[in-house]
Amino acid sequence: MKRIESMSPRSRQLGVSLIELMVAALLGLIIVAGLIQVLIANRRAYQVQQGSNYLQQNLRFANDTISWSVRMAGFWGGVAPNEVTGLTTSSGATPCSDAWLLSAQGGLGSGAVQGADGAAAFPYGSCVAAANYVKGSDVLVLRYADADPCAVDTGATALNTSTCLPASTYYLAANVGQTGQIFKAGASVPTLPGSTHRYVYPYRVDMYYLQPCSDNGGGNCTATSDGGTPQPTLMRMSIVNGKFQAFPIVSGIEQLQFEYGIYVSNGAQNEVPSIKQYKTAAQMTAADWQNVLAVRMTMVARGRERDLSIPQGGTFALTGTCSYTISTAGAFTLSSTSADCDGFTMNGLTRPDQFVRTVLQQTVQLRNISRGG
Amino acid sequence: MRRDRFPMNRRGQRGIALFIGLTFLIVLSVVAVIAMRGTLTEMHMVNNVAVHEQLFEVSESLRDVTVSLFDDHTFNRGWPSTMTGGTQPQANYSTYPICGVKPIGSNGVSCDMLKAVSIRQDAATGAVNLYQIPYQTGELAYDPGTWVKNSKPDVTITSCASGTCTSGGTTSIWVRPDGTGLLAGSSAGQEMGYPGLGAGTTGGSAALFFEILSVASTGGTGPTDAAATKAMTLTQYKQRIAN
Repeated sequence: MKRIESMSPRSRQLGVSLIELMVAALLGLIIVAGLIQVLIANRRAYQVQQGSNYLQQNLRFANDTISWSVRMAGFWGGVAPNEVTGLTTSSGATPCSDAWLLSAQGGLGSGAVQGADGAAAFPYGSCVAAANYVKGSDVLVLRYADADPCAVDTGATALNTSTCLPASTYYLAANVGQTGQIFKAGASVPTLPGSTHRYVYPYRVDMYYLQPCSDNGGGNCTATSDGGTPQPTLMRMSIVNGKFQAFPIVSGIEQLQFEYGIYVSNGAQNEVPSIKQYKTAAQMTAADWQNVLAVRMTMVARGRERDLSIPQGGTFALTGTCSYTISTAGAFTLSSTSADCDGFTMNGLTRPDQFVRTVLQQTVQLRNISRGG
Repeated sequence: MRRDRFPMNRRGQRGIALFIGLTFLIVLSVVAVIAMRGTLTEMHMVNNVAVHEQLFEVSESLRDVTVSLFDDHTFNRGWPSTMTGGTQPQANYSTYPICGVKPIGSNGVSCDMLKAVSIRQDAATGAVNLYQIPYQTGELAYDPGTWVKNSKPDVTITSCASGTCTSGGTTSIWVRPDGTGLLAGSSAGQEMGYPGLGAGTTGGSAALFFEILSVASTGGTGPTDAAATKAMTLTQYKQRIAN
């Protein structure tokens, strides 16, 4: 028994010689080194994947939000816009004034769908400060009555705005298929002639544009916004709580362009309108704005952080007349004809080639627009 | 003694090999799971968007079938015999061709669509008349949610909801009246500003107005199931009535 106890530990110690130890350590090191390689590669792949997810989700959300407004544009409770008292064609109204908000009857510079090409200055007057606008990005304005009606019973004159939030400045009372009337919040709901059911909808105006930073602190975007790395952000100005004000929708959208699908009538009585061509805002005529059937939007999303693992340069074509190229050395070249996206720059962004980018194009049909007037 | 020693050693070595093997396995598994997580997140997000888009399209497109039904039902003064409670010959419903055993969509969108349509059965009148559905107690015109809660759907359409179809779904449709109105006519008398039914050369027309609510749903028992994914669209429909 004693021999067994003393032999057993000695024999185990004897089994590990120096050479064995060295070989084991070497093998271990090789395996660990390989593992570290795998881990590093994996981490890089994960980062690229995360960046891509972030871009994809941003684009999807931006697309969803704009699509909703585009689909609703021109909805007046089953009434043609020329039958709605209170809607105007005042295309010369000061942008963002009450008269401008209500200029929803078709025309140049007014209507349910109204857009402007990107330029060096914000296309709609002083609605948005110069520092809060991404130069060269398009602006889209959509006017409609919200799909969610307020709780107003037949014959009632009082409007409880909390039943159809967010509260708007204006509301639309409409008799389906007959007449409609715009009235101010606080006023009593008008009684309408006609025999069909009366609905009351909040009046909405959505203006989409890009802002160079996500959080401007209530002032202007500067180089120190968003913690020193300003993120271009999709913004929406809409009437919330009785005021036309801007809210960020989603960050990381670098460029935004809209084109308008229009039909040209051939005069036939039973013609089914179909899209004949797409035009940018600058190419549109007053008559064209009445014939918009769809809006095609193109967006470029940019990653939040620099990604040095793969070269990110490339050409990003938004429309037939607007595209830009970023070389792998970081040089930026803009190609803008017909004043489509004049003024777009990468100023303030060193080495723009180090960011991952994705382009998304989507066409949305105007499903609710009613023509007339 | 030797017999005692060797088995002990061998057992010890085996244990170490197992331990090291397991350690590496765990580390590699963690790496693999991390690699998959990003892809899984992306897949969940894409699935969400896909279901949302599909339900929206199902809700919109199948609601249109109801609009065609309105026209055919009026024209034929009844439902076709292929439907429960229907009395009119199928041939009168030419808008909806029957294409034998072929599935929906194989010969245009409307092929065999009637077979996919189910009209609500009323104890007194049989298949309901879409024109005569009143608001039920508790239903509010401005809140379609109350229709879904208080009544069974008036029309249910199931198109390509299973099998080899890659799109399609089930939608439940509610039809509610918005009243009637006179439309401006086309002759001189009407142009002077008198809307009305008119007669002969002054033939104007009247219109019936309806709200058509369409709720497409998947993954549950129907539009009232909280577990189901739903997309809801609503349209205002005008049915012109002329002499």
